[in-house]
Amino acid sequence: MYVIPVAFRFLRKRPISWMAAAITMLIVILYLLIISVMEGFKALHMDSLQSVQAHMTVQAGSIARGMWHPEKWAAEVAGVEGVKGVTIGLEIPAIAIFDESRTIGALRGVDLDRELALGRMRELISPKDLSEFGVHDVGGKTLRGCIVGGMWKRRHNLKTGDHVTFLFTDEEGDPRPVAFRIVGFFEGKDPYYENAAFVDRSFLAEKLGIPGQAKTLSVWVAGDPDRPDLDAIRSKVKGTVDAAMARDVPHLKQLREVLEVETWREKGDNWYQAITRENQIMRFIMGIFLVFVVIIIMLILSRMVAEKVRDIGVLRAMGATPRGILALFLVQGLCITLAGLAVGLPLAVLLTRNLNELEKAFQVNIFPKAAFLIETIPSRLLPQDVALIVVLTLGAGFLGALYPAWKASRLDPVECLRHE
Amino acid sequence: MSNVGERAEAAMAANDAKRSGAALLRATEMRRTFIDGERRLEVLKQATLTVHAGEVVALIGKSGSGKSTLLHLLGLLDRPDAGEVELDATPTAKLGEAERAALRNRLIGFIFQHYFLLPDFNVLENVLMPARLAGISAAAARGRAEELLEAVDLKDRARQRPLTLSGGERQRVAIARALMQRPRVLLCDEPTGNLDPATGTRIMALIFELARRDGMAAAVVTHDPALAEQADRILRLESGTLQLQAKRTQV
Repeated sequence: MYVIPVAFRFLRKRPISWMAAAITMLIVILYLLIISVMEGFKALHMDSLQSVQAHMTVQAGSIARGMWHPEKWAAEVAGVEGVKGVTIGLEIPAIAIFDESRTIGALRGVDLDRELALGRMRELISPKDLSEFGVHDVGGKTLRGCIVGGMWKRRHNLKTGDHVTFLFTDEEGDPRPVAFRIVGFFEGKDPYYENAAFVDRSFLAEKLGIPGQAKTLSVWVAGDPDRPDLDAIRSKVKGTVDAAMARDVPHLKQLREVLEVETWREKGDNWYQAITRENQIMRFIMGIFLVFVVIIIMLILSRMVAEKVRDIGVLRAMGATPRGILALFLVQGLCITLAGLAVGLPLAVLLTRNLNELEKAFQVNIFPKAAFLIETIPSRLLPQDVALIVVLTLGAGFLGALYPAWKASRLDPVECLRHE
Repeated sequence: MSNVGERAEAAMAANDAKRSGAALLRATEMRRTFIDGERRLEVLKQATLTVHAGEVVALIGKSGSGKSTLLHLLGLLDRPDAGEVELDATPTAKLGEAERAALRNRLIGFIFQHYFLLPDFNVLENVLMPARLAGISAAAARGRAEELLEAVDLKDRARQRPLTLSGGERQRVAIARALMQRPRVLLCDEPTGNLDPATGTRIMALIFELARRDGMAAAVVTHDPALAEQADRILRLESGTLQLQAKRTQV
């Protein structure tokens, strides 16, 4: 009952204790700021890795007539545990010819309604009304609509209503120019995915001379795309597709080798590994800063014990136990770190939520937007990071106080009372 | 201790027990040796002592004779190498540290030469401290603390820090603190050693008055013969043993 008020009173009038609390506060703020920005960048990169892509794709290396039963296989893959849904796709390289310029990119045939229902396209496209994606008449000419990537839009100064002709080769190897009308744009969050256009799959398959066929199955998993069992789901999807091929196109056994099932992580494997490892290392480095807290508290409390030798003797004479003296100094260590947390945590939350405003206010450019491909500094403060810093900081306070507290508890009361 | 001294002590103890009640403090054949490098210093050899309720015993002796050591043993701050201390009929030899601390808190009040008030706490908080150590809340103990401050005439200084008080005032606070838990035993280590004679006399008078009024067994270490004469008995510590000096006879 006496430990906490006595501990607090011992600390209160010592400026060095408040300095230690201030240092703890700074370390807490730095830890959470840096980790939240790292997590923000990680989320941003993961977002761009996922982008408009599916969480997993089943892809053939080449298109062979009769190879694919996309509707049937898509339904079977959709039944795999953990899979939310499957869309069917067809992607080919093409030359895009605009009114005044041209470029090379990908032409992706999609079933728009399904893509909008399962994927992120609805979130990433503009305008939101895509009713003109279907067939419509423009000056007596029937044109299909297409959705063009943001990179093309910016680079070639495109707007809705503009025309684009895609030049590609069909199944026979003959060049086919097909004109489209731009009805919308998508921001793929990654330049690679924005050098592309989405068109109606059935229409594209017809123009390629492979009506009803496809090249990819796009698989969407339930819940968080970064789920820990993603690889297990991948294995099940591969097994399902392999079984379907063996059953439906046994004469194309050799083509099974070119079937790839790839998760979004594997597609951006280097990125993902780099980001994840970076975050882990940064957490470790920031955690090392807490060693300073341990050392500072150990030094301060060792000094406190030396100053309080006489008082320890008096308390023992009045009936304090060695355990009580131990607790007295342990509580002091915890008080210092609690004070640092009490101020540091709310400040860290405030700072992480206002990083961009602070950048403007101080007129600094911590993360050049062009270099980092960001509009604003990303930050993401996770509850588990807050819980971790609380536990680590309190642990540091405890560890720092442990040795001085133990020494204090072992002091001989008679020697303490004789102390000059 | 000489045979004469032993017999006299036993006789007085029997008479005193009849007069004042049971023996609250009993030390039997205590020995305490300190080792300093290769030197062995036998401070106490066969120290035997009994103090009854309401009795004040003065302990005198030359500097370095072991008076403070004896007081520390009686107060369970130290353990004898041999012998036994009993407090209010409770043997203490086999008690652990926590039990000894509990006995110190409940049964013993200490008054030191240098007051030993806690500088981070005000007067009232210093007096409350023994109760707080016993797990009693400040609110519950406040009445008793204020009553004690009134008894030592310092109630109006309750919120002041010890550094702002005079020596005599600080010792009065120490007396109030020592009595907070209504101890059965009062141990005073040269309580007037840092005070001027007039103040010292007043402080000793206060100690004697409160000890006798509350039926405590008090042992007071002092260098002052005049103060020792006010005690019920005077014991001289010499060559590691306690020699009885009859009250108000020779010192």
